Amino acid sequence: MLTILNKIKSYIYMIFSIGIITTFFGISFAFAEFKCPKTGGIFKTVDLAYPSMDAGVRANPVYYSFLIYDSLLDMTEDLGVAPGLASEVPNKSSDGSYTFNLRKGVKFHDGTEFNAKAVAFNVDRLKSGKIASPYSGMWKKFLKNYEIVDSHTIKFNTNGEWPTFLWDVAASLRVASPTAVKDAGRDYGTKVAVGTGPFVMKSFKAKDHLHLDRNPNYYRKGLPCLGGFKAKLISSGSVRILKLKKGELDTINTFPESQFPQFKGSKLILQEGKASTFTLIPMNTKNPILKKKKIRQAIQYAINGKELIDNVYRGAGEEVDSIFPPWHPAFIKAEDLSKIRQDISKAKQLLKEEGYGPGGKKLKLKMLHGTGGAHVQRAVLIQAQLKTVGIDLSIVKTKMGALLKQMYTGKYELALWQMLGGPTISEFTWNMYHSGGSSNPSNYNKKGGYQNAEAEKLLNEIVKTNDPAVAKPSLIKLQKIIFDDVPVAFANWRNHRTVRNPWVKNFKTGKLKGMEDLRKVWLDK
Amino acid sequence: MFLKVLLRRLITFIPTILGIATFAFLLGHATPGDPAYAALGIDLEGYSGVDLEEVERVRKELGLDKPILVQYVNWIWNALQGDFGRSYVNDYVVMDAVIEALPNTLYLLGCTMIVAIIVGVSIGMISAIYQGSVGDLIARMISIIGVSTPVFWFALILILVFAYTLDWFPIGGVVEEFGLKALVLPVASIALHPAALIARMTRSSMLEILSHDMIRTATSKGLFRKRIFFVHALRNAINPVVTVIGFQTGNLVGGAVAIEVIFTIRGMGELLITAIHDKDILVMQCAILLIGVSFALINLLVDMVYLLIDPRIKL
Repeated sequence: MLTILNKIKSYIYMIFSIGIITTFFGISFAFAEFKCPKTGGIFKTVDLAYPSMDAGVRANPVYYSFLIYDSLLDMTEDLGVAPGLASEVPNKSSDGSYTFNLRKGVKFHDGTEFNAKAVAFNVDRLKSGKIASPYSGMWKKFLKNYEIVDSHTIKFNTNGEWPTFLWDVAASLRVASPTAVKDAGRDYGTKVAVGTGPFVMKSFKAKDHLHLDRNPNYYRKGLPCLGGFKAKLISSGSVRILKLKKGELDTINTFPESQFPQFKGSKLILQEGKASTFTLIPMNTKNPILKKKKIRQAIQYAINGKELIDNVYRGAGEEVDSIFPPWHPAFIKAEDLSKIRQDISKAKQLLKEEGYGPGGKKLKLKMLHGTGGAHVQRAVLIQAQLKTVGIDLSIVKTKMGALLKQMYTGKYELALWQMLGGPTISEFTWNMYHSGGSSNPSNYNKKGGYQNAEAEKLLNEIVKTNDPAVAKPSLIKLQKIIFDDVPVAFANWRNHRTVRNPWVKNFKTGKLKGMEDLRKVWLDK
Repeated sequence: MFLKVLLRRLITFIPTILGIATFAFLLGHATPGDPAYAALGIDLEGYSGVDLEEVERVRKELGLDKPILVQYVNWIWNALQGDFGRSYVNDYVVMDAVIEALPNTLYLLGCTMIVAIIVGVSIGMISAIYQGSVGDLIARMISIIGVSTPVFWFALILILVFAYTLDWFPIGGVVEEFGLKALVLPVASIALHPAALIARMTRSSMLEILSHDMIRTATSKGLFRKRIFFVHALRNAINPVVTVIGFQTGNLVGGAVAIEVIFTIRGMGELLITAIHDKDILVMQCAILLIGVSFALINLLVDMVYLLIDPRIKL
């Protein structure tokens, strides 16, 4: 009997010990997700379109902000969200609120404590418009209020549907030190920038340089691998490449495809983020001519996206097969792609039906396009493609700001546009085609624009979920409608590019342009 | 006489500067794009949405909703007090950025002009003195190449050969970072064109003077060749050369823009280019005004130098 009891006891001890060991290793693995093979070294790059290092400012490339600041949630490689300064990803409660439990013991670079009040302070800054941030409008519109539950818990109450809330928190709510913001006043962002992020700002000058040192107290122990970060604005493309080849730079991100041949035969490694940028031509459906579906369809039939990829992007792009990019979880290849592929005879037929073409009226349209080399080349090629079906397209080179202004105020006919693909379903659907969408310059479903009640209904259903599996039936229907209505002409998807020296390790080109995570990058020099 | 002329020219300077200021202000406003968009950071390629209410709020905050005349008067009044405002886009004090950038440009242009004058006058004189020789032929070839070579192309070739392949100099950078080595390639790139023009002008002017009777008289009187060339000939030949130097100093500002961009020198040219790209109108206006005023000042200086080297000239 005693032996049996002892045996049971020893089993209990064994199970208990295994439990303790498993828990210990489990916790250890959770905290030591990544061990840097090598630490130190300064990562040197170019591209500095940042006007300020303020947490609320949006600039290009986006990842620079996440060197100094952390958000409550991290953006993951597969375009999801993961715990950041919040210890877990919250679930949406039945009343539409989200409660974030914040990590304890996290300090800002200035030694002050990170807590719920700090989060609230940053939300208030965004909502108040005290900083010129493109995110202000979104936070003002969709966030009803917040409640500080305790020092490390904060609850957000949204105004109705905000389907992209968690992603928007990860992408736009970067947390700055309230003490530093108050102390620096107007100079915050340009002379001082204090977050909890992997690097500490050493010096910054807008459109000139950014120098960062490693944050030794980063809350993710062992990270970052790099000892520092230096970015210097170098405007000349040729000089950038020479510096990279000479080893004075580790990576460059922005360069035209025409420079591809310069990397051939060198030790440099070219990395591409497939189909990250959408090339499209919004057509203003408030315009009496473009309100006619057949005219829009004719324009779509005239466009050859493959020709643009081969001639302008040197093959670095993909044709449109869906309203989503090929890497997107909601990508569904359309069964009938003939409506968005070039078909000259169909285009001519549709124009004839509307009274244009031989023996009829001459269709004259104007398209705005950007000023960069690729913008001009694309515009010229599209002009030639439209000419083959008898459309006389005049192209107008316009600065990006002016182009956006004309598009969003409805003072345009066609615009050649390039937009970064968003990670959420609603960014590609609701925002692009719904009457209330923020990126819907074609005025599709808007007052005075081309109306499709069924599309609007489907969009209202889709916006309620970001789960591709749930939205799939509606998405298939919507895609069919959009490819038929063509409020925007679909040109192609363009890849984004990074070229690096071989000693830069674990540098992953994100699915979205400018979203690289430098925390786990290390230098093998 | 000198002071009287200087005073008269200074008085005419006032309307010139006012004209430049008006031009700078209007040019800033005439460029396409909306500063409110730029201030919000949505003037960037690939932005997917615009909140028009937010744009309007920022426009109001920046005072861009006021009538253009009001904006002009405010700008002139503030500029008179040395206040060019705070950059809409980059949020720095405009004057601070200019004060930081100006010395780099002055340093670059100053060194360039010294090199261009020394090289240009020397080549021009050698060419004139040894007219028809192999040296003259080579000097003329160099000056033709110098006049016809685009600055940006020459700069890239210099970088490729001397900075990338031979590794003698850095690929861009400023003196504080690399020392005087940083100046060699930018100065060489930008000095080529003015040096070539100065050489051509010196040669033709010297040849004309060398054919004068006074030179023959001086030679027949047995004066040293050095004295004839440097004192008698060069002094008389220098007036058109000074004119070319004056014009070239003004033109250099244009060349400096390209060179500063290529060599990553944070000077006035680079500042202006970035401001134009960003639709940062306050920086643009300030930079245009300063460059215009510098040009006018250089012209004034050249006129005064005329008076000093040849008092017979009436201005």
